[in-house]
Amino acid sequence: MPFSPTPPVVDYRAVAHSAGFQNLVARRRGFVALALGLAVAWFGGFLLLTSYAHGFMQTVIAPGLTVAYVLGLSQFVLVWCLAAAYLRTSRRVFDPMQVAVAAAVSTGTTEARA
Amino acid sequence: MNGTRLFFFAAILIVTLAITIWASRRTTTTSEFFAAGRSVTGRQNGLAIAGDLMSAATFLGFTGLIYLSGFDGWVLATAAIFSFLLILMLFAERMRNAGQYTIADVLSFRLSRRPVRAAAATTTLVVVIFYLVAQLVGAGLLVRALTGMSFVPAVILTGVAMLGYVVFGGMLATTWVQIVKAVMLLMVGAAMTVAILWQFHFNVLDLFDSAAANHPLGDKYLGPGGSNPNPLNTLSAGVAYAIGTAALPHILIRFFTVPDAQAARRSVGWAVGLIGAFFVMTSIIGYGARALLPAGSEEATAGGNLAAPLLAQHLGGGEGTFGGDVFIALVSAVAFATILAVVAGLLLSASGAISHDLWFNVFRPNAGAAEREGTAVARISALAVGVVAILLTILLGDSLNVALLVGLALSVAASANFPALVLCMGWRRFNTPGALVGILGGLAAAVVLIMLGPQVWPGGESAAPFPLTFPVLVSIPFGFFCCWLGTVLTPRRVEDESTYYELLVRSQAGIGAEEPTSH
Repeated sequence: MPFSPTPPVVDYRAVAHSAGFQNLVARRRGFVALALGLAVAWFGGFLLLTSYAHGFMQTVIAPGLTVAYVLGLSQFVLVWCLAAAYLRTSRRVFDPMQVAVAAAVSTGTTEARA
Repeated sequence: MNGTRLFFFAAILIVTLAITIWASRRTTTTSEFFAAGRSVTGRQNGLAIAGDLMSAATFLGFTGLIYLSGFDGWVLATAAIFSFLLILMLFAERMRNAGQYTIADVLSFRLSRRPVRAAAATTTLVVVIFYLVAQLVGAGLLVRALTGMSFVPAVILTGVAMLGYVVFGGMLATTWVQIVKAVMLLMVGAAMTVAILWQFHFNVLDLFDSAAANHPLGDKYLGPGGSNPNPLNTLSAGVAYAIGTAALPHILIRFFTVPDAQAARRSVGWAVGLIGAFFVMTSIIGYGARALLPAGSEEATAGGNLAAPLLAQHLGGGEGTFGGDVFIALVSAVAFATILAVVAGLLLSASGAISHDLWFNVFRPNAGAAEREGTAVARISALAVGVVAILLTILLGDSLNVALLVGLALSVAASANFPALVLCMGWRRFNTPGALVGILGGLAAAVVLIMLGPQVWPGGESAAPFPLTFPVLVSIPFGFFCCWLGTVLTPRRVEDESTYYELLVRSQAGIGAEEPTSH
């Protein structure tokens, strides 16, 4: 099967400017910016503390348990939660919007943004 | 050689060989060779991606680092799991929607195809060769330590098995070898974790407390700073793992094997769950080795790398007992399987860069991808890269620093691939010169700074002109800067920006993406 990146039938510029598509991209970007912003802040803070605040990170909360381990474990919990939230939002919100955009393209009813 | 170990090692080879024979009958077209016919399910692909990350470097390396110096070893695990958010939210669906077989497909999609493809294929090859040599050195050391076989035959044995999987079984064999290994490694890790916790009546804090009591640092062993006096080194290692992991070619090409973007997304969901669970287990295993192995075992663990197998022997009843023999043989064989599966994935991504990117799109763009020729060139490229990697490994020998090579691979991926991948999907003005300057600039910065760094420069830490082992704190911003500079110094071109819309629509809505082939 030859690689053909440009099927001639789709006017990509028109689709890109359609209201449905722009709405999809804006909502997905909003979600990703928020989620990655949170994760970068939490992980970046942890990494900075790990590098520079040895004393604080070595604080023993209970015998055997340090601040470092609690914050390290919290990275996994945060990644799991954000990944689950992204998968759920994609399934419930982004996928249906994507189907609508594709349907509009295949029926030639893509509407330009007002 | 010890009979129990021989039995387990042979069992691994036989099982993977059987998978390869099965897969080779289902691998005739180019799409089957590189992308398993896009027929891998989300869950299967998730297991395979998890397998790629659960390498010898993370299973043996992280547990060994934790055993030797405590928390510092686990920071890299948190960085690697963080990188999966970048993969999930920035790359997984877009790679599937916009690409065919390689990263260069995505990078060159909207830009002038030949030069960008050549540059992207070059960085893929650099990353893969260094990663491959690192894994093969690790394989040689591991097999030598566990079976008594000497280094060169051990490397050749691993290399030949790797070539067999890839050349005959393509992506299908590579994926299933990885899946089988991932399941075995998760089971072995879980068994070790339960066996360790059993000794502490399932009180994790008791385990950590005993580990700290056995280490000269005491409670400080449970916090950072045990291995790395220079804070910038800790920081840069974390950044290299967090961003470099997300731009590794052998992980990103796995998204081409699933039927659609939804499956690509789900596969990251599986991978994040499994890898996270595995990395949490590595902290238990690493601290468990400190708490349970007799004092003074550091020497026997060979730089920490054998801490997990030795702990398995201890948990099974100790040296010379039947249980101890079986458990160490099992863990060692699974560690060996891990290396086999990871090197196969690496080799396949290198083969894609040579045959799909360089051969069919740069040197012979008008040949048309004749199916027969397509897989033949792919198989020959795999063979060539594999032989070069095996020879390099033997030539450079067992004194090579494995961590340095992995660091180089991650740094190059983070500095050369990551900026261009992000910008080509998110910046309309981004153009061909920007991508070229960015990819080559990031590559050059990473390689030059590693050369000037303490691991390569003669005289070590005090003499090196550049103080950091991992150059990413400088080379990633430099890669982005080069992308920007190359773009703004050249005039706007309408084609570059109109293809931006095509890539945008295709990557965000899946319109025009590669269809799965039916079997």
